[in-house]
Amino acid sequence: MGVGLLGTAASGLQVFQRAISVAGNNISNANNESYSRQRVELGTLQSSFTGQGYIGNGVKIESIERMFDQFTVDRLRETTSSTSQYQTFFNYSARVTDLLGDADAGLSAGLESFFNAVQTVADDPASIPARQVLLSESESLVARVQSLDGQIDSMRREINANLDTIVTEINGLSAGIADINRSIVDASSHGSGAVPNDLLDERDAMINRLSELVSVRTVQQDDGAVNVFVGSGQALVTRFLDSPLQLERNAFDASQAEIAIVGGGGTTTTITDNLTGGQIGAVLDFRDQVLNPAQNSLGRIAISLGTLFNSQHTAGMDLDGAAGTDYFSLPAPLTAASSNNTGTATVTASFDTANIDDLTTEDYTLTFNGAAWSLSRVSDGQAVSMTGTGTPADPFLFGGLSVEVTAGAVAGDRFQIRPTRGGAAGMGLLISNPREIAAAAPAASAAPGDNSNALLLADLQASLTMENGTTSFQGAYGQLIGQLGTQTRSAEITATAQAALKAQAQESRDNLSGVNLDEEAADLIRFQQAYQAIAQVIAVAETTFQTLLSAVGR
Amino acid sequence: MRVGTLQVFRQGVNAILDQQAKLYNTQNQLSTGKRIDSPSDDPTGAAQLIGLSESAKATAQYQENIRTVQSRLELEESALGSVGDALLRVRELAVAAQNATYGPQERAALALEVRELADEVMGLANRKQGNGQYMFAGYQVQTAPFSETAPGVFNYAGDQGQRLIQVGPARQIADGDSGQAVFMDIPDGGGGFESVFDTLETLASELEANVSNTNTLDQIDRAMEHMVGFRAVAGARLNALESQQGINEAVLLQLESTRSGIEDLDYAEAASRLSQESIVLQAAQQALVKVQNLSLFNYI
Repeated sequence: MGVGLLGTAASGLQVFQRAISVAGNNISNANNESYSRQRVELGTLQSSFTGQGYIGNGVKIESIERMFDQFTVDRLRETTSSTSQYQTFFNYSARVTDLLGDADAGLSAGLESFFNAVQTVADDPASIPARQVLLSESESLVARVQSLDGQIDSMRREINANLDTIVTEINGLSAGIADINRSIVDASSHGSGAVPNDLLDERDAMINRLSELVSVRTVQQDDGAVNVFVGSGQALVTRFLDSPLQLERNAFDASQAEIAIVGGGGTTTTITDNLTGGQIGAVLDFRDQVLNPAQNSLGRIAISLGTLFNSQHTAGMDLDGAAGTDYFSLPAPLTAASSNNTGTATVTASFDTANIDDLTTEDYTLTFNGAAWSLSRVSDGQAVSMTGTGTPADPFLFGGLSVEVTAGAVAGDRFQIRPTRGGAAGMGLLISNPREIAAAAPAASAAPGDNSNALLLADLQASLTMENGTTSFQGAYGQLIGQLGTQTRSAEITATAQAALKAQAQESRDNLSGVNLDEEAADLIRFQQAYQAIAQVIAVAETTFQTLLSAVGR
Repeated sequence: MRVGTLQVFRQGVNAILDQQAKLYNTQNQLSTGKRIDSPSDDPTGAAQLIGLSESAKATAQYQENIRTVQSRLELEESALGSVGDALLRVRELAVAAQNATYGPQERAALALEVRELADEVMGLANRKQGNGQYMFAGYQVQTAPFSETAPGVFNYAGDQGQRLIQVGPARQIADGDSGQAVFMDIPDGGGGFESVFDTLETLASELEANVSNTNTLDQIDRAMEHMVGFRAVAGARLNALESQQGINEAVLLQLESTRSGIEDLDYAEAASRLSQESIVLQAAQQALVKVQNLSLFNYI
């Protein structure tokens, strides 16, 4: 009887010691974000049969439960992904918006000073100082356009570097998750079906971090492994195997990085368009929806202004009676053959000066199907109609562009035309002698006091020459700023909303899985008291035994 | 419901951070005096501001242009006034010469003064603007327009150009008149034209030759009338400029008030917002500290 009592008491001592150490572990991890609190589940030891009936043999630990709910964890993961996405998008978008929208450094102030200088020449066309002022304002305008463009370019380099960093981190996490999958499967298979709680926490933390970088879906396997998918179902982790991502260059544009996944056998598949959410989704969206359109808009203003100013300037006469020449130099539209083309055709594009009002901020893809050429927008894939046959005598005409193609195209060959992308970077000033400013109308001989052409040049400021003749240069710039502001604002609002959802998900998760120190303190007291009580049982057992011994010994 | 201890702390910190961000924003608004710090604060407003700034800068330039035209027209007006004075004196001399008691000698003396006055008119016709350019040369502002190429032969080297200056979005005003129109194309009463220099030369010759100058006196009257006409035109342009200046000023004022409505901060509102946000921040800070002090471990 005494031995049974001691055994029963000993089981309690052991169990509550363990329970105290689980509480201690919870307390130690109270500030560990990824820790799920653990709870000791108790059970009774099997009773022994005696003639009088079953007598209990004490207590045992059934399991150490990890307090965890897959739904809550999934929700936290999804909101983490979208919060990180919109926050990152907002951070980038705000930089472009503030750069171009700055009252002093933006293009607006440059256009104003430039056209005021044209007015000053119109006021006093024979004045060399006034002409000099116009030249230096023109230089400033070109420098300003180029500097804004340069900053956009440096952001493009920055996001390419950032994509590289993110891809490296994703690959590290994929490899880590695959590793942990193996450890979890191994550990779970060691008898008793007990699961390694800490490894599960660690894996959840890694998947959570992964979802900050890119939106992922997970599928739990029966053996404890988790498969992780990105995009439209590309597997990053399949049990113990991880498929790394890598950067490639765009088929048309070396400055644009694309993301590919390396499958079994080293085959790569480009999945840029499939990736959503997280920092990668944000960076890709930012590039497609903010950065490229902003650079195109800036380029379009440079090209429209330059083309129209040149047209009017060449229609005038300079201070010495010579016909006006081109004032600004402008780059031709960028064209690029896909690196996958098999034919020998080449494409050249130029601006359709007479229809420059129709110039858009779109990029275009020209595709040959074996018989005919077709055109579509890069942004949304929509078909765009064009006239002409593409020959020098009858070029394709669309959107303020004139495009010629040579023979030799093979079905499937594609070309990209980015009319305005390089417009800002390639703008230059061709005139350096103030006497060459064509302020006068053409006449038989020099007319230094004639300002007629200068008035027409100044008129361009308010003329509706952009967006199919609906707005001015500065109006188009205002539209760009309005659009950037709207995109940034809506990203900010969404980021705030997503952060609130994430906070809720975090709260739900913590309410279940987080450690509460007061609860642990209460448990400590409870377990300590139980321990003390059982120690008393041992004392009683001992006293009982001693009593018996002394009775027998006498 | 149970709450994780970390969650309690996190929520307290988040409340402080949120409030701090609001306070920072308000503080920034108060220090810049602007409601819009970035275009994303008010995209529509920011786009409007660009249009307003364009209009304001252009209108300010029109005001600048008006000042330029004003000074030119004032100079023209004063030159024409001096020409008028000279012609008035010439007329007095011509009338005096008709006095029957005058002999060849007296008339020769009058002729001398007429020639002096003709030189003066020539000087006025070759007058320069403040920028060193000839006022009555049309577009040929760098060439002296009037010269006497041979005794009694007058040449105009300018052209008929008349410069217009932009003084409002849809308004241009001429900043002068060509020498051709002012000094050369004076109607001779018979459908033709005669220059003022030819008229003065004719008068001087008649006086020197001691012959009648009745016809020339009529031409002098026409020349004076012609000058008065141009002076009146310059005056009318100055009036138009003044009224355009008033219009531009009103436009600037209106643009500024629109800009201010979009961009400027309502200080009273922002100041009370600042104090309200400070109170909330303090409360959040106190709450965090208070709650963190509550622990069962304090009693074990």
